[in-house]
Amino acid sequence: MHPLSRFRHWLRAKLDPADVASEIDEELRYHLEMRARDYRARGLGDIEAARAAEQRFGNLRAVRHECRRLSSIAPSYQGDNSMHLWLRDFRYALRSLAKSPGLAFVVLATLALGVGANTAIFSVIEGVLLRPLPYHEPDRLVMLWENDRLRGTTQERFSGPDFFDVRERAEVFEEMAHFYTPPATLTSPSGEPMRVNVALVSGNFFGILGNAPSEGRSFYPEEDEPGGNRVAVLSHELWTSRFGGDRGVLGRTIFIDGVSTEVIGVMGREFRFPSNADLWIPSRVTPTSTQRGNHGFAVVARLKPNANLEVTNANLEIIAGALEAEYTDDNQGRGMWAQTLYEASVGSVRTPLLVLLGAVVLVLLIACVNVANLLFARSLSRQQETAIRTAMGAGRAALLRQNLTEGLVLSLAGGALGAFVAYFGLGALLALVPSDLPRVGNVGLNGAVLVFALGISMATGLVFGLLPSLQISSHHLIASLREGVRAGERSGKRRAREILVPVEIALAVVLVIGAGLLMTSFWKILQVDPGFTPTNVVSVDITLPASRYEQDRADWPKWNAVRQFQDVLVETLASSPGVESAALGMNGPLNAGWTSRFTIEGRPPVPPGEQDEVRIRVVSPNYCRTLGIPILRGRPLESRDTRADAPPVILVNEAFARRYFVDEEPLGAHLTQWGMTREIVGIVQDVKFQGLEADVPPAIYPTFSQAPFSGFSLLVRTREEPEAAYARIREVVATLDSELALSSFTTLEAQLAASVAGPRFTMTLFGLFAGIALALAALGIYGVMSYSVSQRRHEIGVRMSLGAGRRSVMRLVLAEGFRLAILGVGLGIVGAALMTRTLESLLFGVERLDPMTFGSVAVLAVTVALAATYVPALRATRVDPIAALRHD
Amino acid sequence: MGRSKSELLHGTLELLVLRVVESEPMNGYAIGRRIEDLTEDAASPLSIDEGSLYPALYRMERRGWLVSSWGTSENNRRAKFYRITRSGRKRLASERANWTSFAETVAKILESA
Repeated sequence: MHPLSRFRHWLRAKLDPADVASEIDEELRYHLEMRARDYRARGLGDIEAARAAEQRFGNLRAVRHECRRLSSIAPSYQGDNSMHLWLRDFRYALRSLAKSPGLAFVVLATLALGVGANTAIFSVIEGVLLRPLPYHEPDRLVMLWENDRLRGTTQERFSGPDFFDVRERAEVFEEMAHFYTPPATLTSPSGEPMRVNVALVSGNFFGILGNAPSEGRSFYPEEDEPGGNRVAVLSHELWTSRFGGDRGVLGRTIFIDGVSTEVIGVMGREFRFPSNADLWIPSRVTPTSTQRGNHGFAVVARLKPNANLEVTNANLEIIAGALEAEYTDDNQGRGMWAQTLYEASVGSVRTPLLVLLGAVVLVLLIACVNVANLLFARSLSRQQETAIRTAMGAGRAALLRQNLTEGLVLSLAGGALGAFVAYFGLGALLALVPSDLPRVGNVGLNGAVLVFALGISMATGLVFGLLPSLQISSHHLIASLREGVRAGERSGKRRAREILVPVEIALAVVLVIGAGLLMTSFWKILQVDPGFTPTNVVSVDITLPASRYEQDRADWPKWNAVRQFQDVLVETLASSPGVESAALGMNGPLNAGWTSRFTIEGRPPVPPGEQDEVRIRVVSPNYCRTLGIPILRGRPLESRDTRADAPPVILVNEAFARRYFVDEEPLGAHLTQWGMTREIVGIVQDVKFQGLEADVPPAIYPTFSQAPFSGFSLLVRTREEPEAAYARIREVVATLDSELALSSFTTLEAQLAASVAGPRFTMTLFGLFAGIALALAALGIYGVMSYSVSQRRHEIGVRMSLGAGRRSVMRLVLAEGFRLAILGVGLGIVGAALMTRTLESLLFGVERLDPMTFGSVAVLAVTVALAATYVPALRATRVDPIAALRHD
Repeated sequence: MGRSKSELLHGTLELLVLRVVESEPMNGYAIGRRIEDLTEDAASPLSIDEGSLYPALYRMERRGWLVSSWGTSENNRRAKFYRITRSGRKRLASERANWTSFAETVAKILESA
């Protein structure tokens, strides 16, 4: 018989023994009747025939009994007894859980939360950190950077000539590609003009990564040479959003900043490199087409199969040294180094994600301790049953197996529920995730994640399946049987249980201290004055295409078309209803922007290689007024500075004045930058343009009219709702130039919020986990203390009958809870002192051993523990001494 | 039990049951009768003891050599029929070989003594 149908038979016998018994009876009755019929055929009368048949059968009852026994025991699987044993244990486990549904519910809910939270976080870790990058042999891909010892920069992009020199000289690379991603305007016969990020890449770019377009083709070598056809490969995202995923787009002409470009391919959905690229176009850079001092190229390279990072960096160091000697002006102090593409892609988010994983694993540990505690308590109340089973010959191994089966049944059911929790939790999680989290599109509940969930479920099952078993060993069988119903806790077991409570409190304290530190950090970040007033300011990015707005490098800074458009735009907007003030900035106030070298007039000359770099923030006259940036000294930029014959002027920030004008007067001094000498006319307050957590570096503010730029942010202080302001801006821009692309509509408040999205995400989740941990710990204390009170009813009864008042009984119980809480908090503080080291890089404005946080968390934990003890303590005072004593 | 009968060697009953249900499904009573009928002309006809037959059938079902189902007997009565399974056939083949070699061995010893 097929094992399954055998199992069905057996199951039927189990489920409906009456039915099976009646079938046996019917079969045996048939036999008797047939026998009687034979006898009648031989001439016996009805009664004699029946009697003879029964006589011949022998002991009918014994046979019937034997048949029933045979059909009720589980099917025997020859040579595989464990299956049978396991089924029996499984059945027993279900039965004993069904006997205490409340316990089963609490255990399952706890596990579902623990496993679900872990699975959700792990799915983020899997998609972002663990999944290999979607390129051919991604381990051999590296990003190359330059640094500058003299200026103390560590991560700069390559210059074009440096790239070609390294490509020629390095022995460790199979191939190198460069790219940079400027914004541009895409126009095509279908649809509005659109701002896109164009990755201008070397022709071998896709080849190095090992990815081919999913539609169409990649670049031909001649397309990366001056004079070749202008061609573009679209990202999957742009292809679907702009062109409706139509294959007919291949061979069609689109316009990038007004230059006609043929679409030749579309990349697959997985391919997002660089992550913000909307389309890829050969940059046609040659060794002589760019300056050695101009560092604009990101470089990706494929290592030869035998090369590693160490060898690569040694090789780069030698080449950088040689270039330093050959090009003293541009390359003095310059080094080069490589990092893996993996590190470059996700290195910045690894710490926060792993910290969150650590936190959620602690939550699961607490959940396990809680469940173990509950099962402990039950196994104590089942101690007599255990003793009986042991006395009946159930070996230690059998009891262990039984406990394990129960643990696994619980944990696997909890794990399955946890998968549901993870599914919904992940939805909430992804809504919280900072939008700049790399590779977030990979995140989902896939096979690997579910295997993880199964794995941790099994592990938790093993943990709390084994914990109660430890007790069997210390179990005095006879004592238990003799003790009878009042199987009280003896000191050994009580100690085991009491260790779990402080452990649980300690784990929760570690988490809550971590959460406290992160919250303090976040609060400190929010307290930072950004240096400008973000309320009611909206921002839009615009790039003027070179095809219609003359911007020849040779003519700079006389870009009349650009300057004129910008002046008219600001004027028209400023006089629109609802607009308080309008201005332009090369970048928004929260964008780090660019750097440039400069010199201060009248100071000893510095060789070009050693000149300092300063942040350049080109702005229009109304910038400071629109953003509410105070002018500390001197005057703001004014409209008179925009006149063609106006003398060049510049503003500097406080950091600049502090650094370069220690004992001198900055106002009226002159500095030279971008080939123009400008007078410092004002000092503005520092703006936190590198983020609220970063120090403000020295920065200078020239005006657009004296340093024109074709790409800029339009900033408008409005009296209207943001949506109305966006509509007004669209309308005004369309009257000036209907083919201009507008992008990144946002408010400065939203930008400010987005700039702290990372810390906010880490803090929120960590705080959530800490809250769950504290609640679970409180539940654990409550459970243990309730059980302890119910076990000590007799003792309490005795005390009360001897005259102890309710207050002293309450004090007795609270004191026990307090003792456990203090022990746990002590352990937790030691643990936190060790563990917060991992948090250090995420903290801002708070020490990792901040006594305020440690102290208040300790008070909080003790308070929560006492609150959780209060209810059982109250219950203890209601013990009726008479009833408690009589109960025995 | 009136007639003179041979005692069944231990384990032989199962072999005989498998042999008679080999060709067609049968009910318990018919199985017993068939074994008796087949040996009626032998020197010592077998008598099948119900007390061992039914437990044997249940045991064999549990071991997967037989499956049972309810059907209608030749006299239109509801009866439980036993059918041989593939593993039952395997068992029959190996037991039959065992039996033959055992019988030959015993015969050889008896002749040589």
